[in-house]
Amino acid sequence: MAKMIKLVSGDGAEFEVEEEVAFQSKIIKDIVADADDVIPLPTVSSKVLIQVIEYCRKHAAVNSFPLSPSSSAAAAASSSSSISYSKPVSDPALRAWDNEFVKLNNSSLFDIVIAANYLDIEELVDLVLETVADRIKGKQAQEIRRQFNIENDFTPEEEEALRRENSWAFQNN
Amino acid sequence: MVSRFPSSTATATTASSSFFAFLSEDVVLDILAKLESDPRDWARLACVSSRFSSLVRAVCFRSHCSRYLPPDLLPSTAAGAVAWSSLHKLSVCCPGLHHAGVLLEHSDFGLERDIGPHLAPPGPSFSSSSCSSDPRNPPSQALSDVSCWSLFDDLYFDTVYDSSEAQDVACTPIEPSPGDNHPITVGSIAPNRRTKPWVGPTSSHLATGPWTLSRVQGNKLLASRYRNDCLYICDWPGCTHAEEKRKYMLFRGMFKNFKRSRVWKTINDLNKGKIRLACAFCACRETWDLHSAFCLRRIFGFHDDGEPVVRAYVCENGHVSGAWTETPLYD
Repeated sequence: MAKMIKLVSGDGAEFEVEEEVAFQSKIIKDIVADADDVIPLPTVSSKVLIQVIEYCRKHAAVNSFPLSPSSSAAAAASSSSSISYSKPVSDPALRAWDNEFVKLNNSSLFDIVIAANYLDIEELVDLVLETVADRIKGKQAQEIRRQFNIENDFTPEEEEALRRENSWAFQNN
Repeated sequence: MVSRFPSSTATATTASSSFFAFLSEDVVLDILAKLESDPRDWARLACVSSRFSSLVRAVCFRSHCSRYLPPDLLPSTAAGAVAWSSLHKLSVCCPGLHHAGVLLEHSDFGLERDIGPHLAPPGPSFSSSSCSSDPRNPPSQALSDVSCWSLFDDLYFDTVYDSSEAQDVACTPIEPSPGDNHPITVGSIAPNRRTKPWVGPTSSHLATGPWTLSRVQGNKLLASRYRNDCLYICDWPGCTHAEEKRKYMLFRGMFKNFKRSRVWKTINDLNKGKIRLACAFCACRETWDLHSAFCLRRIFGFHDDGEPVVRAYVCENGHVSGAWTETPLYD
């Protein structure tokens, strides 16, 4: 019987998750080591916590002991298999799942990256940052401003000078 | 890691108003690091806001240059953002056919640029004193009469082809174009441009070739008396443009300590006119033609149509743009 950990969101909702799922968060892993199985997370809303738990559940299944069927392919593909679980960076199914997971608007991504950082879930932080970078790639300055609500704080002269300096970059192949 | 992020009480509403406003610089730089593979993304980001501009130039461009360029060319740590921006551009940006001088007309073997623009010979009433300030003949009227004569005109007509001696088709003396009233200047001369169509982009763009510069390439370009000058050129073959008639291997590069180089001394001593061909990598609006200043190896000649096999232009900051038209003899 897997040990269960209880997570309590900022708005009072309780979530019972398997230990290995909760341990995707280094912070929770450390707290539980002090024999504390109920972990209040006052700064994380239930909406965001649900999403984070979903991510952790998926990744725990792949990150579990290498002999489990779901991760054996990943273990074979991974170059660093000396640790107890392998990083499934080359697992295409998991990557596809991750890509679906981050199909969220910017404000949801922001909430998730804040929570993931708070809970110290490095892979999730990296996934969100990667997603943001993808939303910048190939875009012109004006599009980037629109996408992320960034104010154009240049004077017309500064903007013109930057345009002249960087116009070589304005074409896409 | 917790310190990189704002307080987790930042709300979604706040974020929707400005995603990046509440992210610390560490995090923003982590995002920028993921854009390294295409230099255009950084360059476009530098145009978004002042925060991105300073991060991209001071951090991203600097890390790229430190990785790809020889330490010799890196500015001191106190260098401003513009220095890194210029250097980054030198690494990744092809000057394009325009800044490499490919679009300049070469059929006159560069004579016009050496000795002045075309002018009609003076009329019989010419007086050399009319060029100076003369109350009876104000300068503007003298100019419009095209009655100023100088040494350059003598040189030109000494060398112009005399059709009576030819067995082939005669070359007629070149007539000045209508309205061509400006006086001779040994300063900026606007180069003529070809009008034939070009296949690819003529302006600066992301280079297809390597991002590294090497002195080995620079040494292949310069005449042997300049062997002590440090010219770094991008690795062969640079950015290749296959045009209708000819293939151009565009290169870019930079002199280390240009003002202390022998090339600089040469072009300064010769007092050769700059041409109004802007540098692709900085704000210089004029450059010197290294080919007509005899700074390039003499073995590089011309094609039958007068186009030089290799051309190169240098600005006052030592930035070089140029083009090969065939595989060099040394490789």
